[in-house]
Amino acid sequence: MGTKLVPTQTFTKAGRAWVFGDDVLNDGGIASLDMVRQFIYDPKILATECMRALSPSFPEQARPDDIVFAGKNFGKGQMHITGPLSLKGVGVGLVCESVTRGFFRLSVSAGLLMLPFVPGITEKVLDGDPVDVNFRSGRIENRRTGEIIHAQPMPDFVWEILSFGGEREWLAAKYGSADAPAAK
Amino acid sequence: MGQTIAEKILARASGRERVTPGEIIWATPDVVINHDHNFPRYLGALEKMGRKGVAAPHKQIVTIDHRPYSDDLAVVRARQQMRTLAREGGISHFFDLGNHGISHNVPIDQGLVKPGQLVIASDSRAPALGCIGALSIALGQGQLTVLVTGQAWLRVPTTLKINITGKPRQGVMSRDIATWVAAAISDSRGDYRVLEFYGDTIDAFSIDERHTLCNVCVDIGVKGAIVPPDQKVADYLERFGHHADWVVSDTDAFFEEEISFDITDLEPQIALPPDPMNIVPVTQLLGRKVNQVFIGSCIGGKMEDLRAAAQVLKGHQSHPDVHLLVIPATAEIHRQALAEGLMEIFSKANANIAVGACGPCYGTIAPLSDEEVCVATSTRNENGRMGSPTATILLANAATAAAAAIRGVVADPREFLA
Repeated sequence: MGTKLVPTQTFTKAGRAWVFGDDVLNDGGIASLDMVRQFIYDPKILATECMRALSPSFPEQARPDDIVFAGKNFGKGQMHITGPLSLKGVGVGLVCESVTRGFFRLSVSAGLLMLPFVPGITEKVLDGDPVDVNFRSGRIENRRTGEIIHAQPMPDFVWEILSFGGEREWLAAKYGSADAPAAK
Repeated sequence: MGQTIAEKILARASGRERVTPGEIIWATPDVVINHDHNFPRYLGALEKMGRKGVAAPHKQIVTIDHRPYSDDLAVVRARQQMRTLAREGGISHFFDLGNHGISHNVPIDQGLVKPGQLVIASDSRAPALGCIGALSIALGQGQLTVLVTGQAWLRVPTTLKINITGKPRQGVMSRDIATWVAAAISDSRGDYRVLEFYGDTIDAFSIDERHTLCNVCVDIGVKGAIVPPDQKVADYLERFGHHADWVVSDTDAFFEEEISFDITDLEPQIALPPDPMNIVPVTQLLGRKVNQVFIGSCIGGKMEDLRAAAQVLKGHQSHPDVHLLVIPATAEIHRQALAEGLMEIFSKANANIAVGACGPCYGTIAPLSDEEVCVATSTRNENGRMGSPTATILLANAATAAAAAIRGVVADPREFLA
């Protein structure tokens, strides 16, 4: 085992809510379609256009401690990791009513902090609300209304990958340098 | 309680007696499919981890499909890297240029997938391989874990039982049937599920038609789509001298839902942007000006599609204002189309012909300019997918696409089939 198996990602955020509706598209909604077609995978570059099609000020104004709230079927469309990496680049977490299968898996790969199955959450949060989210325990607090929601957290195994910051990081920590000298 | 096909395949692949929907398991795939766009990136990631080569080389299929015609030196180098890895035994099935083709079609051409297998692929259209009774799942970048560990983590899905009955009318192809059925199921019922197909319509479907059916279901978020094996699959296996144990659902298996469709009255359909499920009968768009027609892609470049297009195009030339592209999905399909005389028909129709490339389906080879309209047999139609964000992609069956190529406007394929 090359690297020590030590989780690196923190799991709480306290920031503002950015609220979106149902059926947010992956390509052309979360990620810039131009960047998808140019095969850009650098989260920092992707961040500069993240969610712009739906919220023009999002890329400039969203802070890493903010949280995207969305309705059902988040990440609809093509199974491209560009979308999750775009959110990762901004640094935000994700809470939604449901997420598509493809987007869920890609978000685990990208190491996106998320609570992806929280029915009715968009009725409890308004755009701009101050919110605290603990992605490990599933506790969501709306500091404007005082309401506390307990969401289903990720299964332990998925959490293990997320806690390392994503699949690549998790694989590197767990299986890196097994067959060959470590890459420079 | 019995088990569905997907549950049985996942139980075997995880070394268990049975699995329960909702649980997360580690499963060992039988076949792992990669293509030239993703695989070199994964190799780069593996290298950074200090790992040499991929797990289970004998299970790996790698095809060149996204960029067979690229003049980008980075692509050429990536190809060389894959070639070297194949030569050194690091991947068993590499389909190099000249023998290349789309990763969802090559395994069927070559008999590399069998019923009852667990197939894992990075690309989203993987469920298409359910056409021969396999469970084929797309992992995206999750493929990395498979390439490192030889295993995939999977959440066991529930299964829907879909019955489709009725004889299709003239001009109606598997694409129309599949899209109409999938649109009715919708992602609210299809997402995360496996669909199992039954009924006399499906019994009559060729392997190609079943491939289209399972491929279309990707657009309602399915984890897998499976046509249970039958004599047609036995014939497919025999062609390659293969044997496989069929996996079928138990009579008392649990299906989350059972939904039935009668396609007797269905007409040829067209999907309007931005969603492949946004369908209307072709008759509602007749006369709409068309600049490009694309017959190709994993879903619309198979023998079924080429034969239907050729039937319409025979003796015709494409309209002077239309750029007609025909791209057989694999080099092998191209060879078969040549042997059947189909390529000559396309050539005489002034088609621009390429081989074994995804091509316009993801915006390469012939991107669309502003305000242009393309009728395509390919997978998706979000604005911008084929070039300019103001271009329009209309998805249709191959006969409808061919009719549009002749007329220069959206036209009813039945005019040419009478």
